[in-house]
Formats: sequence, structure tokens, C-alpha cells
Amino acid sequence: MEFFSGLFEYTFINHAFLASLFSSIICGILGTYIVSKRMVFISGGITHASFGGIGMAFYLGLHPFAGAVVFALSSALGIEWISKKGNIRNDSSIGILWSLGMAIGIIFVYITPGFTPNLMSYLFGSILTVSNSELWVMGLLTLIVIGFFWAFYRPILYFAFDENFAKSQKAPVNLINYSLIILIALGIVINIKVAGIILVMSMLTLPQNTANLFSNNFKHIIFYSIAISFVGTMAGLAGSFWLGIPSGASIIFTLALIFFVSKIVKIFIDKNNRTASLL
Amino acid sequence: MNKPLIDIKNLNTGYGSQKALDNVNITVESNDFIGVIGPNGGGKTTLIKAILGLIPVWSGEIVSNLEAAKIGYLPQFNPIDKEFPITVKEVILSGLAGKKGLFNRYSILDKKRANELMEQAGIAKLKHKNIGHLSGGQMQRSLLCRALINQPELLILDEPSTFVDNQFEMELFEWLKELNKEIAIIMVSHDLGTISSHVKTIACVNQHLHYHKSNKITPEQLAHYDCPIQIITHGTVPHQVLATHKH
Repeated sequence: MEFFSGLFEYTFINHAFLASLFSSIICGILGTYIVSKRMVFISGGITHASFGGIGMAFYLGLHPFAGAVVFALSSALGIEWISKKGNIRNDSSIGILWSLGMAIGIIFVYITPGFTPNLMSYLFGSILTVSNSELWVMGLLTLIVIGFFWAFYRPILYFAFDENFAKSQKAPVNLINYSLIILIALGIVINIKVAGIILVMSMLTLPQNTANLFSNNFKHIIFYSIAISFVGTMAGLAGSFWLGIPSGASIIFTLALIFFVSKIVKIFIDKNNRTASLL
Repeated sequence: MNKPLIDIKNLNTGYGSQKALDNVNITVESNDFIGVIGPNGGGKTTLIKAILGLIPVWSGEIVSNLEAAKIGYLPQFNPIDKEFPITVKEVILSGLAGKKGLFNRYSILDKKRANELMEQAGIAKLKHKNIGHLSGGQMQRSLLCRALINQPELLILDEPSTFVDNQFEMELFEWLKELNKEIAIIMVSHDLGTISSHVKTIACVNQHLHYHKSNKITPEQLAHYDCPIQIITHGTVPHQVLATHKH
């Protein structure tokens, strides 16, 4: 216990704790929507496109996350618009965006004179260096996401389930879809700091799929995901301390471990239930 | 005379540059029961989507004298994501999505109406079940309840009897007959034999639309309408299957 109370005396540990909490809530909620609506690949596209913005911001001497926000938002809105038009193959356009974003990022980082930023921290996250102002932004976005889902829970669920039906009832489907894709873009950019570009996808999919093993209820999946995400992040952080491995990779590895263990437990539960029902 | 519910004039529409409907005219009056038949890819679902405002109209017009959200819609079964984490009750309440908009709460009355519909459809026990656990017939019942919860004046069904058991099909047609006393119904089917005894009129859609104001239609008339569908008479084996006709 003394070990933990000792840890909290360090600001960076407090920051990491809060950052994990915020990011678990943001990813738990948005990820449930993403997984349910089968938008994981879209989110991957947005995530990687935002790297283009990070590179460009380095070159122009701006805050890297300003660039990431611009790229994430424009790619998110672009994907939503394209899928609405439906006349370009959706997955292909995401693939193009995905690779183009990474290429732009690398080119700009390369031509930025006399400066080599720590690219690894953007690829794999750096939860231990989250700053005060970044925490404020995370906290604010957490409140916005909670508020949005609390206020519009039913429309969000119903429109995601059957968009065409909702449109046939003249429900404001586009307004909700565009708002959500903007929130997803912002959520992704914020979480690049914690999990990194490569691994932010796992934060949005692993806890949700673990939760989905034990529940088919949208609301329950949200709550379970947040809990799994937070526990996994904390355990991953602890693991990264003790083993001296990078925090982002350690967190995601922990989340994956939780998923696979749960999957095995679930297989055994199902098997037991089957035998019980046969007796 | 009452205004028609829907009046479609010289409608042209399609997908991308591909025309699916050419100069279509049809009027839907209250208490109509129209069976929409035609070959696969002939534009049956396109017509439905145009009426529902899901695809843009290229030219012509669709005049609707219905309030928004007063069209009940039972979409085709296949595109529905059966793994989506949503319960039967939630699916049915989602039929109020248009009426409620973004800010209105779902009242006790709404939930009561959902319960009544589930009782009527015989799916009350499945209320809290996830849709992934339903059979085809149970799923169609849930979707029909969703289409009815907002008390529509026009009900549009796209292939309601795919993936369902015979018992549900019979119950469905009984229910529709009852509903048709109050509201108009448009039902798409690829199977003329199943629907002809239940509908009042038949619309043959194969890019063009020929409106046949009776539920009796002969193969010669179908050929004349350029509507090559297979007619399967149900009943004694062997089934009588007429060859498809072309001019």
C-alpha cells in the first residue's frame, strides 16, 4: 500500500491516473458506438490520417495536436460524406486516407530542419508526460461525450441500429451522425497522447469486445468497457514500471490479455451451460 | 373526394448513373392494399425508397399528403445487423424516432403501446432479448411492431415473408387485413402467388410501372406489362410454374 500512496506524490503519476480515467470513459463510450456500428476501420483511417497533421504542425512550428485535430476532423467529415454519397468504395477511400496521412506526416517530419521530435511517443503514446493543459482538454471532452450520450442515448442507439429506417421516419440522422464522427475524431486525437496512433484502435475495440462477451446491452457494454479499460490501463501502467517497457504498448497488451482470458472463461461458461441444459 | 395519400407523377430515379425507375405514375389512396411485384432488380425496393425519401428523385415528383413519420416501414430483412446490441423492446420503441426527434422523452404511454403491440404479435416474452437471439419470424414480428408503433396512415412492407414460418405468414396476412380497414398498405413481394389473394390491386414494376387495378392477373397480362416474374401457385403438388414471358 505504501508503494501506491508513495506513487501519488509524484505529479506525473497523478496525471497518468486522471488521463487513464478520462481516456477510459471517452474510449469506453465512443468505442461501444464504433464497435456496434462496425466503424472500426473508419476509426483506423481517422487515426492514421491525423499523423499527417502532426507532421505538418511540426514543420509549421504549431502544437502537434492542433494539426492532428484539423486532419482528424477533415478526414472524419470526408469519410462520413463519402459514405453518405455511397458512390466510391468506402473501404478503399479509407485505405487511401490511411496511407496518405502517414506519408504526409513522415515527409513533413523529415523536411523539418534541425529538429527530430520523439516520433515514438506519437506512435505508441506517452501517458506519463500528459501536461496540465492536456488534462483539462481531456476532462472537458469527457464531459462533452458523457453529456452527449446521456442526452441523446436513444437517438444514437436507434439511428446506429437502422439508419434507413430512422431516415424514413424523418429523424435527424445526419445531425447525430456528423456530431458523433466529430466527437470520434476529437476522442482519437486526445487518445493519441495516451495510447499512440498505432494503439489507439485497441482502446476503442478491445474493452468493448471483452464487454460484448458478457452482455448484449448497449448501455451495459459502455459501463463494462469503461471499467475494463480503466483497470487494464492501470495494470498496464504498473506493468510498464516493473518491467521497464513502454507504457502504451504495455497498456494495450494488458487489454488484449484481459480479452483473451475473458474469451476462454466465456467458452467454459458456455460449455458448462450447455452440459447443464443437457442434464 | 379525399386527397390521395401519395401521388407519384412522372418519377425518374436510380443509383449513380443507373436508371432504376422510368416515368412512374401511381396514386396511393387511403384503404388501398397494393401488391408490388416484379423481377429482381426491377426497381421494387427503389420505388419504396423513393416514397420514403431515402433516395433522391431525378425528375418528376412525389406529392405526399401524409405528415412526416406517418409512414410505417418494414425494410428488407437481410441488411439488418443481427449482432447489433439492441433489445426487442428498444427496436420497437425506435419506431418513434421520427416523432420524438432529439429532445422528447419516451413516455410511459409509449412503453405501454410497445407492450400492447408485443402482446398482439406474440413476442411479449422476448421483450428484453437481444435481437441476435431471435428466429426469422420473431425478428419480422419485432420489425412489424416497430413499423406500427407510431400509428402510421400508410404501411410499407418490403418482402415481409422472407425467412419466416408459414404460421407467421398466415398471422401476418390476417393482421394486415385488420389494419387495412384503417390504413393503406403497400407490400413488395417477388412471389405473386402468396400475395394475390390478400392485396386489392397489383403494381408491376420493371423499370416501368403498370398499375393493375385488380388482384387477379393473368400471365398474358404480365407479359403485356413486360413484367417477367415466375408465378407459383401454392397448393397441390406438383407446383405449377409458368415460364417467364417476354414480348
